[in-house]
Amino acid sequence: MTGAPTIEVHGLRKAFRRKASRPGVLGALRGWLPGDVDVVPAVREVSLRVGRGELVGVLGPNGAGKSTTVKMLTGILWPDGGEARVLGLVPWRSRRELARRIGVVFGQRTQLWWDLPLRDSLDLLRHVYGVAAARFAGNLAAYGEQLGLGEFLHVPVRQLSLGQRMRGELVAALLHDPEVLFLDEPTIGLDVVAKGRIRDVLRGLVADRGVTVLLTTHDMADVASLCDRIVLIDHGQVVHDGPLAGVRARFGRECTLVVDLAEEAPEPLGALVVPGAREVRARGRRRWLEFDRSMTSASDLVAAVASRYPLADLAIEEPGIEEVIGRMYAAGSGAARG
Amino acid sequence: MSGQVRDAGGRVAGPVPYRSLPRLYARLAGATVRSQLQYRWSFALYALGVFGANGFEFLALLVLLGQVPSLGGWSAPEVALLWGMSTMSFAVAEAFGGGFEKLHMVVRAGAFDQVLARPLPVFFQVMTSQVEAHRAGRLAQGLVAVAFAVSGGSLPAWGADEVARLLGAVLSGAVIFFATFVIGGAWAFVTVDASEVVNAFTYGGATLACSPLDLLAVPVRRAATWVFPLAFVNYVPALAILHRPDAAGILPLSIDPSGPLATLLVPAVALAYLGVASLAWRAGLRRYQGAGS
Ligand SMILES: Nc1ncnc2c1ncn2[C@@H]1O[C@H](COP(=O)(O)OP(=O)(O)OP(=O)(O)O)[C@@H](O)[C@H]1O
Ligand SMILES: [Mg+2]
Repeated sequence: MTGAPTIEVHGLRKAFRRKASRPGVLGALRGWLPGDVDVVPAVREVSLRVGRGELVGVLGPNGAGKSTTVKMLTGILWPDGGEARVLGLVPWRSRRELARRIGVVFGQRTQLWWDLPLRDSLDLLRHVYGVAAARFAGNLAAYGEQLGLGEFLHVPVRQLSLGQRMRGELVAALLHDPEVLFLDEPTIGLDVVAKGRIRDVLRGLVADRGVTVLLTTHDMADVASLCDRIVLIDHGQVVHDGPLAGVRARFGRECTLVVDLAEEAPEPLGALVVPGAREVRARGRRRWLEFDRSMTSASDLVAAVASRYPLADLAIEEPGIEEVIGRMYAAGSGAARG
Repeated sequence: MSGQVRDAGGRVAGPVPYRSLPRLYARLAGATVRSQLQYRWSFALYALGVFGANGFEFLALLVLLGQVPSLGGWSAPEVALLWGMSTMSFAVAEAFGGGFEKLHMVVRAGAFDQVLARPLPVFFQVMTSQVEAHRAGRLAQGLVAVAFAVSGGSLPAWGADEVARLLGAVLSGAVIFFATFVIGGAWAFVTVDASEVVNAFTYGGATLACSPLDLLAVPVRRAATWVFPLAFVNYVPALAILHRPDAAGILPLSIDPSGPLATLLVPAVALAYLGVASLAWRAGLRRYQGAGS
């Protein structure tokens, strides 16, 4: 990573003003008066730096401010305060110039012409972005093949399935060779095969072309298979920023040892004193022992159990990515409120 | 604004240049029309409906004028001329301003973010988002009405001068109605519930402009001159074409309605109103983007 970062954000803030909706007739009438507004702080303080060719996953619970952040970084919304530069441009001041160099996909919306065949939409976008014919043909052939658009290029967009349309959206965002991709829930509603294809394309863009990708998702498999780095936003603040391995180290320490005892034993297992370990479940001879890896190793725990109770079988369960992120969310909301 | 710069990878940098906008307009407008044609029956029925509704309105007017030889001192051909001018202006305005009229739906559906994600001016994109080809029917009706007025032979003169005045008036009127659509579109950013109020001004204005303005009560007349410049759509230019005096005193300082000052005043008012509309548009857009309000 040399030179200035591709995305640089410092202290970004945005609050939405909403007409207060109050119950009852009187409440509705009050809504007509000026000044009766609720202020929703959507983004309180977001700072981050992303270098060229990084693939960053922005995670966070519903309403955390992820989409609002993406909208500010793409120049769609003006912030209330803070600074940002994308490719050296202030997004909301150089919206049109930046738009030509970035690709944006909102999984919940469409940038395609609803009633026209997909192919027509792509063709129109070629002119909107001023892409040369040869470059357009090359990109359409390459990405179209990777994402399997061939079979439905001539179908009106409104007749496409969600997954087909999303593949079309991604190709539409790639035709002008963007240097940065902002993807807000790009794999929403896709089947396993389609998700795999989109992930392959994204990995290829990063590896072969040095494209920088910032994506928000609720799909933990996306995170596990794509993101080198995770930014967790909660209540409009960055509460964690680091490599996925670090997240596991921080929030995935609690593992579970599952043992099948060779003989009947009391519930819970008496006289088992290992720091950081406790029995969380029991069903006959099968016992679940949760332990904190930073305080005890699996082998020490197995040895401690086996020294008193003969074992028939054992297994160690690591927390899945879903669970790790779930714990991170739970910890994050505590931190943000505190 | 920088020109076209290519980086090492052959990518084009800088915003899309303004000079490519006319061709883009044709393409995007064409796409809108093709989209409408996907629903052939609905398109045909809608065009028929629009044509019928306007035609019946005109017929009703003719029936009325057939019974009363004049409407407050305006003969039937003269009223037909007023109707034709306003109708043509409105048809042209709506052909270009339909996107502003429908903008509240786009904002409500949350689809406006996509507009801002594209490297084109927002105003331009909204203009191309709704192109109503069937407005051509309305334009034709306006022409028929004007032809009726002219062929009646009761207009004082009909030469190149009058034709030029008529064209200028129709264009100025179109700008005035277009600006009204733009102001209505700006409201969509403030509240998505204002569309009926906006309609009252656009369609209501077009209907009001069909009757001679001097028949209206004085406060309405004043408002229709200086607040919402309907008088300049057809009444003021028609005075010149018909060689009528400004009996109602719509023009200030007793300006001669057939003189050069009045001739210049019509497009000047239209452009000034368009200027007001563009300020309103910018304020609305800033509000949508949350850039201080
Ligand atoms: N246009 C708007 N007007 C008012 N409030 C808004 C608007 N857009 C978002 N909000 C509010 O701002 C907050 C952040 O919303 P945002 O869409 O950024 O969340 P998110 O992290 O993308 O959530 P999700 O995971 O559900 O997509 C929410 O409380 C939301 O209700
Ligand atoms: Mg979101």
